[in-house]
Amino acid sequence: MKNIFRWNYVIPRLVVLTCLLLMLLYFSGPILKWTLIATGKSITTADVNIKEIKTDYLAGHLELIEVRAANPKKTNTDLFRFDKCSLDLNKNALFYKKLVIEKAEITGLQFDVERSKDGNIDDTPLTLLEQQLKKIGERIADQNFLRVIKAFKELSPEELSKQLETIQTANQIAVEWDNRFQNYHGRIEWIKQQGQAIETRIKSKDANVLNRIDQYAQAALEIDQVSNQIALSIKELDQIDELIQIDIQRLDAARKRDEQKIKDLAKLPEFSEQELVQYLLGEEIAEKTLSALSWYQWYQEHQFDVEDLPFYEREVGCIVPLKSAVEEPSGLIKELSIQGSGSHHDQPLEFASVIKNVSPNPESWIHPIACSVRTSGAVNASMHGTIDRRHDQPHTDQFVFSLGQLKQDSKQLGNPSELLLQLSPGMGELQAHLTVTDGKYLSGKVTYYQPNTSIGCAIPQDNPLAFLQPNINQVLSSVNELSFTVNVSGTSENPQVKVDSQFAKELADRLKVATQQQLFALQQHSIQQLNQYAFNQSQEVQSAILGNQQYYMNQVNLHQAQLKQVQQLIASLKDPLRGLFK
Amino acid sequence: MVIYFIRALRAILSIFVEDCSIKQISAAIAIGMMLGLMPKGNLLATAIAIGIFALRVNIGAAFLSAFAFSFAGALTDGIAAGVGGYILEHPSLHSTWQTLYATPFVPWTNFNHVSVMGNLVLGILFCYPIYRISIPIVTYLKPIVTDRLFQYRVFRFLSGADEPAKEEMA
Repeated sequence: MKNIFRWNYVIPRLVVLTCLLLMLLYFSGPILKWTLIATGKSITTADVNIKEIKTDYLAGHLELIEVRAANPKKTNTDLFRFDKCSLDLNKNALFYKKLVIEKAEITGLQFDVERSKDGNIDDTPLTLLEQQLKKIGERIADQNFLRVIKAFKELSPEELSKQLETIQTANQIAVEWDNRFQNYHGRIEWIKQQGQAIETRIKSKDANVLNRIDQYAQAALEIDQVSNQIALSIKELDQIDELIQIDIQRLDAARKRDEQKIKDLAKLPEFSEQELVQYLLGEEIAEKTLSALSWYQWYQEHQFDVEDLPFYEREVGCIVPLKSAVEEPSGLIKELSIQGSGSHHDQPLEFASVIKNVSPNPESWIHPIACSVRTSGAVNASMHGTIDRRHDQPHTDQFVFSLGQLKQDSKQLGNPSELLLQLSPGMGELQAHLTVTDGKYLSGKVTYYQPNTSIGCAIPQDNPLAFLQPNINQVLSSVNELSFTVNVSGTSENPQVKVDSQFAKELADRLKVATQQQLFALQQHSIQQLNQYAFNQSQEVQSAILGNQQYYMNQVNLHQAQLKQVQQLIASLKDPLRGLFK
Repeated sequence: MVIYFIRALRAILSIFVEDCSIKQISAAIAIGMMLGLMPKGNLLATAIAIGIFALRVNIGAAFLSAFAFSFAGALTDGIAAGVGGYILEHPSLHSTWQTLYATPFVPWTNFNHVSVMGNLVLGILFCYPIYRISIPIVTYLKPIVTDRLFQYRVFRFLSGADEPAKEEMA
């Protein structure tokens, strides 16, 4: 019976396999290098270079020499580069299908270093977050004190004259009385003409007696009509006093409404401390928030999720969880220490960072991801972060930043066409506590303090608020430090920023008092003007109407007397029938 | 270089001609079935593949069978997942799986995946029946196929077979 094993086949192949394994052990660097470069390019969407990889699988040691990754947003610079990265693997965990890095160390790490060639491999458009945050500055800058400027403009005499009901009512009353007196004038003219016509006809003495009888009869009727009209006119002219009182009341009611309107206009503008500080610091803070949150979003987008990887080509079924002999999760970096250097305002700085417990399946590891960074040199800063994904929900990520001796250049806050504050250069301190829940919901506080600061103010002369400049400068002369607190809320895609500042509060209070004083004076002046106008209008209307009333009354009385004369004339004429029957 | 290549081909084809019994081909089909059903990318599949090379079975038949049963495996994955799930989650076997999983290298087999376990069990269960069923089929088909192949000069040249060898095989 032949042996079941094909030894003549197995032995040479075992030798070849052993050689292959030995080659893998000692010459796998290039394959690993290629794999890491390809993975790095897919993550950063920019060029990645690795000079050399040294492997020692028996010792569980791996070294990456001179690694450079281009910045996808600024491809002529490196996002980061480091001289050496050494990894110490837990060999025992590998037997149990787990990749555990006991200790990793990166030295000579640098950020934003210029590249010799452009590292662009992808034109990635602005993310939604970036677009949203770019709008924050514009959005909060819109909440400026244009409202206050508008109020001042509305209280100007030119604008007020267009809006005040008193003026409109006075004009309307004048037109009404004009029409009314034209009507009186027409009727009195008619009375006058009728009287003259009757008198002319009576005096003409027609030769025909019968005709004369008819003329007298007709004249008597017409005299009755004219007399009635005279009586009506007198009655109406007597009622003018009542009408005047009604119109004066209308005018007074309109004046009262206008007075209330002016008071309301003067109430509207308020210098909200919140709005003012957002107006002044909005764009600055939005830029800083953009920078911080875009990095957090980058982390979220590129965090390694083991569940996203295909397990088999035929994905049916699931893994039954079993307790491993090794308690660590399937992938874990227990400790990663990073040392590097950089610059801030052309001043060198050094930093050291330690990141612990990084795992693609953090829920199966007892410790949360913890990271801490310390810098020295140009900037004294520290950052501590905890990313806790040990439970399904809610995930809580916490970050504490502390920046001391942060050099700040001279700055301009606000809008040159409205209100501009000029800040002197100085050194600032920044503290931030941020919490991100479920990778989405933001909450936290950022405080900034800059001592030994002087602030100046400029408002264009054509601005209605130019009168505020002395007040503001008076406030600012006592300000020798700048501090503000930013409350962050909302979501990582749509962050909300609320800024509070003691300096802005003082400024807002002073501006509020100044504007209110100015507005009160303007209001009092406007009301005084209004009352004067209303009084003058009343007087003018009253005197004009009464003058006209007297004139038309005289006219009516005159024509009434003339008509009586005509009546007497008719009565004095001999009876025409007497001549007829003579 | 060309001669070396031809010699290598001859060596492969000589397995069909000289050193290959009906039972070896049937066993190759059965083991190939196991490999075909098994999801790839784990230590079990690798072990079965190494076994095919190491055992005195017909390699060509084994990989042809693996190829064919890969398609069948896609259809039977649902059943295999059910079987695997039942076995892996059976309380009486839990400690066994736990011990096995805590053994070095065993986690690389992915045996705790229901599809892997199910296909492994189905493969072991059907291995002998497939072997037995294959024997008469191979007995019937092999002479016919060999005759057909020997009609081609290329095959005869590459296999390096001559007439006496053909008669011996028949």
